Amino acid sequence: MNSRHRVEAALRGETTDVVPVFLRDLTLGLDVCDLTTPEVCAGGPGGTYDADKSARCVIETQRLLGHDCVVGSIHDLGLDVDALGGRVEFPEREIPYVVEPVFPTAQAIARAHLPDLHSQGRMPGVLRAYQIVAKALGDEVAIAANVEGPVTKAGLLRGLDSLLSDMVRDPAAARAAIDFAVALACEHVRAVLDAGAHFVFVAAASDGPGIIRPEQYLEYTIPGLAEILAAARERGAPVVFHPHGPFTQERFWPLVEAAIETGIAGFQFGENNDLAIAKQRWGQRICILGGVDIPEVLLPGPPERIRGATKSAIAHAGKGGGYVLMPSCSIHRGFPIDHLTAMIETARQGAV
Amino acid sequence: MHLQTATAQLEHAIEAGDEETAPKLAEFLLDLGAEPTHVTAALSRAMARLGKQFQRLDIFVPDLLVAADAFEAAMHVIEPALHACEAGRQRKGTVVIGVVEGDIHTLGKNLVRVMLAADGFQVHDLGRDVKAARFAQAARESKADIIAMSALMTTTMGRMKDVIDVLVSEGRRDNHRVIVGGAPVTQQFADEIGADGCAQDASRAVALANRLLTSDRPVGGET
Ligand code: B12
Repeated sequence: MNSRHRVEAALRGETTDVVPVFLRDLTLGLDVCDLTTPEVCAGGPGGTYDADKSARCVIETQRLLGHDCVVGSIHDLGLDVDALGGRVEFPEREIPYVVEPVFPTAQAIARAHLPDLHSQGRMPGVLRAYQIVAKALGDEVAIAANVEGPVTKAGLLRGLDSLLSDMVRDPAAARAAIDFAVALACEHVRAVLDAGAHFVFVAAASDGPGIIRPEQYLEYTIPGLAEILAAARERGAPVVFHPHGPFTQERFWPLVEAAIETGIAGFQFGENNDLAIAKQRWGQRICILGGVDIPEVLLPGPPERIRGATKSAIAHAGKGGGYVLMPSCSIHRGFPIDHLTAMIETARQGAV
Repeated sequence: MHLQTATAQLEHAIEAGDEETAPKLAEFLLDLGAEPTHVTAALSRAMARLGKQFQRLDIFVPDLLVAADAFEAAMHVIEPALHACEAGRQRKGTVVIGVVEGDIHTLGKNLVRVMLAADGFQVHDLGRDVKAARFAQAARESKADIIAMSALMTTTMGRMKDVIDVLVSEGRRDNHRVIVGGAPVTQQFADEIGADGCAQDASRAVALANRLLTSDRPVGGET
């Protein structure tokens, strides 16, 4: 079984030789290749995005660590923002961030048009990186299309605080921002799958209890997720959903059920969740993803503690297949490499 | 309407995030002859209850954000009366708050700001992506008793130390208490960088700020 087969089998709920590992490393490769953030993400002076360097980061990181699944480019949360007129900062050795959102007012949303991902902003470079990675690794390693979820993407475009206030005070404005974000996310899904990704990963840090109300999740996130799923289905690609929040608490179970009903293949649980509960309740219907808490375990370490957390995650969720080991969220530059190695090596040793 | 009933209604308007009714009720209470501090106490009670509900995830971030708007609208109305009375002028202390440079996680900082203001602190919010020099300058200008910094990433939390270094280099470290917070921040980290304390959530941040201001070391202001 090669890495790609392992991930695809797990997403179908089948057993695998060893538990597949997906780091969702979005900017870690910049450290591995010792490149600055602006020279890759902003393409250096006068550039937009350096596809070749981005792809090199992904490929070399995979060769170094041997994980089973990659995101096909260096990814940051400002990829749509600058194409639409907002502003992104690219610090030398840190992670890019949005300094000016696209929609300072609710009215600005009505005037906006979706960007052409093949010709505007940094996305053409990102798509090209996916193509290079697919060519180099695609037969052996699974490639995820990393796409932001409805409230998460809308929050990046509008500013999350403004969006959350709109949800209560001006629901029509919130709806408009989210509809725009979802339409844009669907464009990403199509373009990135066409560039060689094998499945869609919906990254939704701001879509879940902990941040929004359960009824807002049902009103905004779930219908948006269903649209993203429909776009992925056009290309026959499965979808994994990753919102943050304590979903394995009994009162939030209906929120997981609602996501499963849209037809997702997998659900990645973030921090503060009990994988044993997840496996027991939903393991027969979807693939379970998740495992090592980033702020509590993976970052502080030490490696021995990471090995323990990895073993425990596999013990709770690995039995019978349908499980992908992941950190609780994305991995970035600045993360200690030996901590990631401890996690991956432990997964390789453990029988399922 | 009775004073007690109007007070209860004001608390309810805050909890419901009713930005229009809350200032009207605050004004009405003043017209009824209530002390301004009676009104601020009601506002604080309502916000403290919301803080507890948020800790249990019985309410969510949007609820706190709109409650904060209602709180601020009510405060705006009573501010002049508050300044006019002796008890009202005695604010607990001044806090300068912000998210460190390179970090855009604002939600936690906003909640801490709101709960500190609701507890009677004068709070200056510098926003997100705040450079070390800016923290130090704002603290100097406002004679802040407390500098409160938020960071949600291990890659940016080191910036908190930069702020303390600036204060030390300017010989003003003892003028301000420094508190830190955000998911990766631990007591050990706070100790290592020489901060005066850290707290895991907004309610505990308020308790920490109060504790620091009642402890013996003088803070706030002049060099
Ligand atoms: C929501 C979220 C986002 C949102 C933020 C929206 C916003 N406007 O705030 C978005 C999607 C924009 C985002 C972006 C990113 N994020 Co983020 N995000 C989160 C998430 C899921 C929740 C954070 C949150 O808002 N919690 C809710 C609030 C209410 O809680 P809180 O912030 O912890 O605050 C409370 C306490 O900490 C405390 N507190 C907070 N501040 C202070 C200050 C003082 C003085 C005191 C006393 C107390 C205190 O009181 C608060 C209220 O109770 C966390 C995961 C996590 N476990 O924290 C990741 C997380 C923080 N993000 C992370 C990352 C990596 C990123 C990105 C780099 C991702 C990317 N793909 O580019 C970017 C950041 C870019 C940048 N340079 O800043 C990582 C950080 C890892 C690390 N290196 O340490 C985390 C831990 C997730 C992960 N990958 O594991 N994120």
